[in-house]
Amino acid sequence: MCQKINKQRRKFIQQIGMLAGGASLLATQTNLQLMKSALAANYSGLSDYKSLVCVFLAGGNDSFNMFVPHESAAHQNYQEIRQEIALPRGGLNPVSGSSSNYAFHPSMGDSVRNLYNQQNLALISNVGTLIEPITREQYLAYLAGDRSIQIPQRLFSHNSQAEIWQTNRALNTGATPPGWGGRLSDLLDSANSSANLSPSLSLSGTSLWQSGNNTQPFGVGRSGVRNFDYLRNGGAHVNRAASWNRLLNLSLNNPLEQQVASSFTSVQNKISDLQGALLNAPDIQTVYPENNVLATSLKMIANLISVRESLGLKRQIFFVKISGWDTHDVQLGKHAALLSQVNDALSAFYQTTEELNVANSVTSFTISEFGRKSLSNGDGTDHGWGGHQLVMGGAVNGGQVVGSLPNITPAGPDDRGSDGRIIPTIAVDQYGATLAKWMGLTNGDINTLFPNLNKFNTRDLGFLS
Amino acid sequence: MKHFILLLFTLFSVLNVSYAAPNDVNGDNTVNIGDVVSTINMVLNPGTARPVADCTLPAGVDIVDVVCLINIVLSGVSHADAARFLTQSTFGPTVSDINQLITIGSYEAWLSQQFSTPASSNQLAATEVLWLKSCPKKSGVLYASRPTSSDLDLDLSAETYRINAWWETAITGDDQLRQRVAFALSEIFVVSGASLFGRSFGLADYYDMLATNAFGNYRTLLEEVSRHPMMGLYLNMLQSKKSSRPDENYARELLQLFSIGLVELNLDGSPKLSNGEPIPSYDQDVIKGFAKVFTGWNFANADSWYFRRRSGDTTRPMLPWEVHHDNTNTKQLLNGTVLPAGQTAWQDFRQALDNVFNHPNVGPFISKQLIQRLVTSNPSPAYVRRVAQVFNNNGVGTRGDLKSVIKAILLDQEARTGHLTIPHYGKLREPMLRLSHLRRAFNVIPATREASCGRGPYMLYHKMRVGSSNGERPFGQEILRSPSVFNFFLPDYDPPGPVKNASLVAPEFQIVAANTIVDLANEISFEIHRSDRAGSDTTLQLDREKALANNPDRLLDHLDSLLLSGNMSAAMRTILLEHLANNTFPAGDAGLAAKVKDMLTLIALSPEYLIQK
Repeated sequence: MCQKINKQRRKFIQQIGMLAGGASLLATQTNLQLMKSALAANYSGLSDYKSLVCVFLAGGNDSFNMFVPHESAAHQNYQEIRQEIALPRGGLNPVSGSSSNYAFHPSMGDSVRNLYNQQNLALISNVGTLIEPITREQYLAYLAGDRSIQIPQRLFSHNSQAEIWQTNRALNTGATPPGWGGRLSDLLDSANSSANLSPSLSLSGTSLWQSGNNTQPFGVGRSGVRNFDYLRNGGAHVNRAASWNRLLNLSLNNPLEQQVASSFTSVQNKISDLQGALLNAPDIQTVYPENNVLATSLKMIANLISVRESLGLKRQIFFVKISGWDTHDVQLGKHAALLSQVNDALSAFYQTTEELNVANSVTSFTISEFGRKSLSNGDGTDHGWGGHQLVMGGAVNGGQVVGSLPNITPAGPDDRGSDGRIIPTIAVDQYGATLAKWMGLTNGDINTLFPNLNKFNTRDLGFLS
Repeated sequence: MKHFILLLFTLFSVLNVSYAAPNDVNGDNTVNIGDVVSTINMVLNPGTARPVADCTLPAGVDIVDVVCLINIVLSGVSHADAARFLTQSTFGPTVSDINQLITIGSYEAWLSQQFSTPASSNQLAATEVLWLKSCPKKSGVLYASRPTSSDLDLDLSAETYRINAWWETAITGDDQLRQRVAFALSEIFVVSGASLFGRSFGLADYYDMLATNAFGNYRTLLEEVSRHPMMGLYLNMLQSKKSSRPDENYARELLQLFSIGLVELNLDGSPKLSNGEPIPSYDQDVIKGFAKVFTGWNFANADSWYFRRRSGDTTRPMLPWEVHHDNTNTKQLLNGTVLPAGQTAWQDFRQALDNVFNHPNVGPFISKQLIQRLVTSNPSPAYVRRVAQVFNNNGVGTRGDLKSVIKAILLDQEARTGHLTIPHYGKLREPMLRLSHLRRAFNVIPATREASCGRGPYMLYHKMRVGSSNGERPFGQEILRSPSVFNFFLPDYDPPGPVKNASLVAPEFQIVAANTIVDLANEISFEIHRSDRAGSDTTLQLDREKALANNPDRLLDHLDSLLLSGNMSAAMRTILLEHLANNTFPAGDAGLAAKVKDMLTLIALSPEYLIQK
């Protein structure tokens, strides 16, 4: 009796809700379809294969210890600034070429430095979140109340800066915007013949960078993909999967329930194709380091790249995040281990792209929410702003430092204050725009991804060809 | 009262009751009309209940509906209502807890009972017990005497015992509300074993500290969190010393995550705006001020400042060392407050926490997150305001009284009836809560592994995988093991798709990716699949459900009430009934078990179940 009473009441409420909630959802979907069809013509003619691999060093990489002055007077100056966390000159790995007075961290000799010297890796100097170019004087004026210039909100906060890096939203109101990788992927998906598979694959679960308007990252485990085994293998007696799909296809009024249903359905639609394709992936001969999460992730990415043709994909983006970079304490040991992991992983991955004959078609790049203060806090460092990033691939104009290396002296010309939080000289927008252009995006579309790009002198940093 | 008697009289006449010997009234699995009438009699005439006979219901009247109706009349709490309340306030309703709540007859009374239930289990002690059972060794030699917590921490497999101790408490503890709130607090005041290697006993003690303070005052909680050596280690306040550039980590995350957040808030949790933009709630000078405040703290057992961290006592609050506390500088705090130079570490610490505690953001910031953890991802601003008001003043002038805040959250009209009126109501069940719900609802039997020396980790509960900070965990979640201080998910995460399109948030979706969806679905399925089997594995008990399996309507009524708080839609029920009707199941006991397992699996993986409403 009371069951029935509740049911009827609920049904009535649901019906009311349907009327209120249904319209906006429909409108959004229509817009998305219109957008997709309007742009489809732009990229459907792309015939080559290209992909981006984003390596997120989560926590804030102390890149001023990843790439340091090697010339002896400059190194001494560096040592005086960084004090407890300064790296001794002896173990550094100096690079060749025009920046030969600089050197990579001791953990980055045999691979990253060599990739650099072989011109397959570039260092992009002092990249960070910006709305427009800003000098120390302008920053200090901003602090004093001058609002003629804009700076990103919530500097030095991990999640806020990570969000800006990935979405390019520097002023924060309302819902989280899509990631610029996701929007890139939305636009370029017309080059892909597979209507079903996502061009965005993530080795680290939900990824804001890949979250687009109509393409979303598809999570893949480091050991590959599995299926809904129990539901599918129900034995002779039942078809569980059929009943489950009926439950997923019910008309649901609650957006959270809709979200559950659409996630399940989307996974089901894609997983079998992906699983099937991976079964035919060639064995990778390159030897990968053990106990290296980044390397294992990149190896799976290489596997996914190797089956691109059977998946019908010409443009893909990949994402992997490794944590632990927030080195407030015991930095020397922690940072060395992390950089060593990156070093070994990048090396194996680059070698694999050569093995798969895609070295010129795959560009890997790092992001990190901020650099760190040049002043140490005793045995670690606190949150900074600008920092260096690495870009690797056969298409990279490697063996160079892109942009100018900052003066990390506290209260110096590049400091935003007195403790060595360095003002970026390259905006995330420029960094991303250069990558997007290489992927084939038109200037017009690049502007929609990076609306602040026109505030900076250089649209294309020139590190890719 | 007249109506009440009249209703009962009508009911009795409809049922055509006659009186004889009483039948099983103590809430076993058989419900018959004799029990119902006896119950009524006992309520009406305590101590003089008359004997009652079994009797026949008129055609078309279902006994379950009768029981349901009577319970509503007697206590105002239906099975579904009780299940809903317990879903929000415990690790999952059980049949006996539902019956108990109905018998108590009011949520307030149940809350009072829970508020006075002492912490039933001490995670630190439970971890030690499990650890000792596994025959701890140091350098291959058994301890001659009871080891200290820092000895214990050296055992890396201790993390397994800590996690098992947590599951044991979550599933069997009588202090369900306290433990459930502690779990919510552990997702706000985050420390993580994913980066605090070999600190399991310290982590267990940290969790106990959260549970102890769950019904206390937020100000005390803030102090105990700040002084706990695990927090000291996690966010680097421990051994941060006087310097021109002290470590800013704790200062920053205390403000951003544990108290006031990044921007100024209205009482209803919405951001205050200035020219359309949010207003930052602090600047870098404030961070520096707090960083100076938090200098000079070390392990309680440190006998020198650079005391070896491995030997630090991870269960006693940190103590100040004045010589390493910054007492020469003034310290900029919130709202223009500046602490004078020359104060002791204690004075600075307490005054700084008072300064945080009294910031107007704390009420809405903490209240909204607790609502999200217990009740719904998208509370109305008015709901947040009502709870924040209680945070600010519990009615007798006390600020930060968490007991009153919890009560306000759970008794609020939106918590109790929001599912009837708000289309986007509810929250995605977290992986751990999905599992705890099933394990409690079906009276899980932990593994019966013999606790003998040399057998390795003493695993009570299956598949509690512990990975590194980057390790892949099928549940995407494990107690006190989030990947960073930002928890497993952020309170404002808005997954692309229907949720974002509706301008809503759904934090728990941040750990929902294609691979984790599949892995978790498989894990949950296997948990159900291997149930009802004797053996050494974690086992759900399904006898009660198997007894109902040949009566699909009864089975679904039962599961609807227990798992979906009575919210199963008619369409979903039809699909489940057709699944039972249209598939061929084996004969006998195996067939009953198969039917029940299929129902549990389909429900556990259904959108209607996965959104707790």
